Amino acid sequence: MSMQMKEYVTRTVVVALKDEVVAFNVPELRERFYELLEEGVRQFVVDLSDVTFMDSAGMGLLVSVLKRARQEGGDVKLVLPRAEGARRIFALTKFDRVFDVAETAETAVRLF
Amino acid sequence: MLRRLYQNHPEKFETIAQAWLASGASSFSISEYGQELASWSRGRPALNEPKIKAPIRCLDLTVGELSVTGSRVRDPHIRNQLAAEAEFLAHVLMVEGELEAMTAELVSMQDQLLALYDIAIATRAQVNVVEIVKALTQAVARLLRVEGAFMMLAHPQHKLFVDQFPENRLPEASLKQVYRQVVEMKHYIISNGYDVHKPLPAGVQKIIACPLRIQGEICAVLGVYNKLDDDFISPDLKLVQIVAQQAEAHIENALLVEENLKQARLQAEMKLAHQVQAQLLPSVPPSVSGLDIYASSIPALEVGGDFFDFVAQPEKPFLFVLGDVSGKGMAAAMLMAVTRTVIRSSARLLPEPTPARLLGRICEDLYADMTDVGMFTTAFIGSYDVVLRRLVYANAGHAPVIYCPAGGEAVLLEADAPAVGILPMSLSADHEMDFGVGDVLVVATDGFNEARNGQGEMLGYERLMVLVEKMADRSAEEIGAALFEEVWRFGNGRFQDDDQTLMVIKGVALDKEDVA
Repeated sequence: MSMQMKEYVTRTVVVALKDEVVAFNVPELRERFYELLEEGVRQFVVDLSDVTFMDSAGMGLLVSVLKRARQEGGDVKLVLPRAEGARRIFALTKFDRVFDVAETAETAVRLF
Repeated sequence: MLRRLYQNHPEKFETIAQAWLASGASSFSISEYGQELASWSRGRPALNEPKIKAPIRCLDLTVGELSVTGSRVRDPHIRNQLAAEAEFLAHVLMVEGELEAMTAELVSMQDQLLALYDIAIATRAQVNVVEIVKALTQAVARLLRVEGAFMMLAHPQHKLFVDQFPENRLPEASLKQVYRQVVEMKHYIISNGYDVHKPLPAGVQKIIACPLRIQGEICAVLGVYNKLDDDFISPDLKLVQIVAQQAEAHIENALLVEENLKQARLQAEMKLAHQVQAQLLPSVPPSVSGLDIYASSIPALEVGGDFFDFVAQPEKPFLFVLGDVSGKGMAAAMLMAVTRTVIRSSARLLPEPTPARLLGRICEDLYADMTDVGMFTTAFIGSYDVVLRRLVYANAGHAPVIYCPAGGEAVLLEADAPAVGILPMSLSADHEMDFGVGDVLVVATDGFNEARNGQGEMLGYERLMVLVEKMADRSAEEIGAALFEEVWRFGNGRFQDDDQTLMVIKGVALDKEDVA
């Protein structure tokens, strides 16, 4: 009798953002995310716990990472911001219907 | 050197030799590095005749010697005389050497002047960085009589640019190695390949490479390699440095010109985007029985993609829409124009164009385009049935939408679906509510709630809601004006960096002909 084993390991990268994610810093963040995508990362947890505010450019960033990751068979899960203001934006604009969301990075990782 | 002196002035040596022979010496000779240059004798020299020698020494280096044979040469006076003559010759040699060096320096100065002239001519007509780099690389290769020259530029305003003359002579890896070395050392390198501890990159036997400081930053390197007939010497280095300095000034100027051009192009684009935006927005709100309508948009310096529109068709409910395309500039303005067109044409073509159906249509038509350009658009669409006095709305990711029923508290109408262009299908549904006299609906873009004051604090939703509640018994125009004024007051006159677009719809009494 013989037994063959194969093991597949999929990388999941947790990216924690802080403070404001707005038009001003989005281009730099976008570049960093795209670098990770180029490196072959497909599964992202974007931890927004410490994000105090996101504008539409920030939302646009999450959407573009999500679209590119999904094109490659991956996905983006979010850890919702703790700050009430930032959390409210997600609810009002229904971004929480676009992403799987969790309260901590650990639970978000388990959503894959 | 001694040989050249002898060849240039043979008569002088002849005089010295004849003086020795006349004073009783049998022979006199002069040699350079052990090799005889000339000798004089009186008849056949006798065998075993005594001989004395005096070295000719320049800077501790023996370059030749004088020798005399004769029966009396052991006399100390004679020895001293020969030594004195050798010393004198050494002195003459040194002076000659200095003269030659001065001449060489003059020639090299002349070369440098010519080089500057050549470079001035080569770069005079160029305002483009790439062309300047090419012209200078060629000029330096020609001037130095080398196998090749190169320049590497890694300015943030430009992608890494490598130019070689002749093209592709060296592998790019070799050039990058030189670039890194020079930039790290912040200093030129000059090497003729004699130092075994510092190997040169592939294809390079001899090299000079100088750093270029552009706008205060070392971000380029000019180099020449493999001098055709000789080693690189300090005048060569000087020449490369002069060209490098010229290159610095020219490239800085060209970068400034490019930046100005870019700014001018941007401004032209902005102007065009502003025009597109302004022309597409209705200038006067329509007159609809039972509604008092006010709408206005203040574009920011950098134009965004805010839009609003009204569609009034016979036998169909009155439609109003307000949205915000993510992103800024011409792309946002164009996408906003397309979105508006899709809404208008769908409103005409669909038999029952409810807000949710219209959002579905935008999604179907524009999802792929929006994905391609990495944009999305929030949109609030409402339709008003004048007979039933009911409002139907659908909201794709848009905020803030404030509803204040007559005499009641203002609330935010949350979206039930994300913005259009995020998901391939629309999740928006129609929501219905009564909309009678005194009810107020305010749809604004995030330019309102995200307006900041001097401390960076945002206006937020609450202040807007309180104001709407306070102003609810006024006309739509008064409510709108109060909201604009609030943003202006809050920002203390600061110009906001996002468009501010607002629509106020208020229920009023029906026109007489519509009262049943």
